[in-house]
Amino acid sequence: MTEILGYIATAFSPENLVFALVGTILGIIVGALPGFTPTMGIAVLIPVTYTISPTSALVFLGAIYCGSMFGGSISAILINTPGTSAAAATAMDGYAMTLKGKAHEALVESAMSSFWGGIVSVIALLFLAPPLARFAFQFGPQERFMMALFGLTIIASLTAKSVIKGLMMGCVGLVLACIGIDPVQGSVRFTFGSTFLMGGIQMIPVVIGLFSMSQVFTSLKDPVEVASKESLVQYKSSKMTLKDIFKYPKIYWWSSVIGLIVGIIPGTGGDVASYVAHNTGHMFTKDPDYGNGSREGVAWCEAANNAVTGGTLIPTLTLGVPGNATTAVLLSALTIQGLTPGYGLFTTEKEITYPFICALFIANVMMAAIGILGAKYFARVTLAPKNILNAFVLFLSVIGTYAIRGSVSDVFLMLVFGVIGYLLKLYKYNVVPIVLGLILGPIAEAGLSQALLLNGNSMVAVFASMTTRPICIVLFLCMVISVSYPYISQYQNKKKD
Amino acid sequence: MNKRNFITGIVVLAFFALFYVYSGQLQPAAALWPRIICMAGMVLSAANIVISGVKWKQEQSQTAVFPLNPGQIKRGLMLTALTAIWIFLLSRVGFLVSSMVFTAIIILIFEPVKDKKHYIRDIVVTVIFSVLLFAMFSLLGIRFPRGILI
Repeated sequence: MTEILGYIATAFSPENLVFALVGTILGIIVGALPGFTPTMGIAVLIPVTYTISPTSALVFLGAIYCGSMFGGSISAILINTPGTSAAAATAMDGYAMTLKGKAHEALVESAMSSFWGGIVSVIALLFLAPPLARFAFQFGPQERFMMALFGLTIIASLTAKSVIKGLMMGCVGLVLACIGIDPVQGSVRFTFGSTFLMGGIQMIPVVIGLFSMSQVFTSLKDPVEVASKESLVQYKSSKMTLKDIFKYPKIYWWSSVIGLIVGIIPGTGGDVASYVAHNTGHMFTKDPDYGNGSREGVAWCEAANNAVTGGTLIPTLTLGVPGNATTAVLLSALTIQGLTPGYGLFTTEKEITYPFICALFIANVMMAAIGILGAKYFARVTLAPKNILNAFVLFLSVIGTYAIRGSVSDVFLMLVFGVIGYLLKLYKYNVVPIVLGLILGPIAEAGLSQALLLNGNSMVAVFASMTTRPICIVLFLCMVISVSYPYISQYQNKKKD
Repeated sequence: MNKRNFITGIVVLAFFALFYVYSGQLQPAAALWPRIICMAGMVLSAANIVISGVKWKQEQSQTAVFPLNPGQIKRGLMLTALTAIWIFLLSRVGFLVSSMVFTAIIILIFEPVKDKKHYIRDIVVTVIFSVLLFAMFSLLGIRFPRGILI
């Protein structure tokens, strides 16, 4: 009990409260800006965490994640432009409510349902993550290898429209992860004579380049248009009672459960959760306006997409398998702090992990309060001049990359990956698999190398040993499902049409 | 799109082939994993080339290989060049001054409303935010390169 109170006290320390507040506000702003993804927001703000304590760092980044999921709904509701893909479903009912003069009601509902979604997912994270991490502790080299491969199959779900292109990018990430010193024998690989590359390709320049720098290129590709103030609707506050605020407890609960489950499944995300929840709501609603200006519709979508946050953190913190692109970047922030996902996070590092989870509660409370009180002000960020906004994203990208090791070469590497990321996006290649490859490549290689050592350097013996290990078999089946699901889903959709 | 997939497939295939060939110079244990990945990458790239090639032949579209118009290419190259010069000057001129100057240049170049009022606003915003961000990161203990200036 004293231990738990200690974690709560740490979460409530002034430092963590400030980081939670700033993170939530920045998250809402990033989320509200169309084209700026939570992944990009976290990538560009990671540098802020370099010199602060690991707990505060995680609190800050977790708060950005929570805030951005809600922030996306602000522009979706007010200007019919979802700030994040997860808020696309919210726009259906949210914007229709705005057109009916109910913008305030829609925003309050979005904040409240996001709050409940976030809280349910944090509770799940608190209770589901430790046993799962304990289970992962039993993993041997074969299991770790299979786990990394399973993580890589997320690519199939992330790039459902073109699985081959996604897997190609995953392999590119895996190859890039091989650059530098080989973890088994310590020999130098693929440095092409460069001393800079001997340290390997650093994660942060790649992440900032692929997500932030490339976004700047995309945003400034065409001449900047002047944002019109008329695009912001007239916003009238309506009187709301406490009963109005907690209007749909059943919806909050079921939608949060949907979001949580979707979040736990690697490769899915807020957008999938929102649409699944909205469809589920359609089956049960009695509201004739559902899908066209229904408050219930907003509640279903927003509770679900915020419940995804805790859900995606479960495989990330316990197995080191990022649930989506945002958690892939969070995972790299975790490694910068010297933390390794797995059982250790809930035992030796519990003084960091549990206060972080407690602080996510606080971040969700702050998000609801800030959302209800200040949503209309956040909506104004969509009017911010694009040229200024992007120039400062570039400024932060340069600071962030330089700050990690004080290396100008890293900043050049960031620029190179920015250009590569921009070109890849132009040719409709998803860049997330590259990051997944970079994260999971070393885990897979270490697992395979250790398994080979234990099995007389025979690949046949390694795979034979996997067939006798139940966890490997289960993971293999999960991989098959993960890879084949997008094809099955496409086939079913075609059949329906 | 298929024409573009075909071309990019060749580029990615060449990337994997380069690393596969280079892995021949490594010790067998160090080369094993990269070779497995490169082979997988080459198979996937080849599949992408074949699939998109067949579809491209069927659709016979006139899609340009490069998906940008001259104006977009110019803006992209300008941004890349400016950022590269900025990075080059970071440790020579000093972080704050070089960052402020280049941020201002980028903002002014991409300013949609070309009038004095907007230019002044842009410069004021650049100076305030640059100093604020610099101060914030300095307070967080991050050391920035100093050149002939700050």
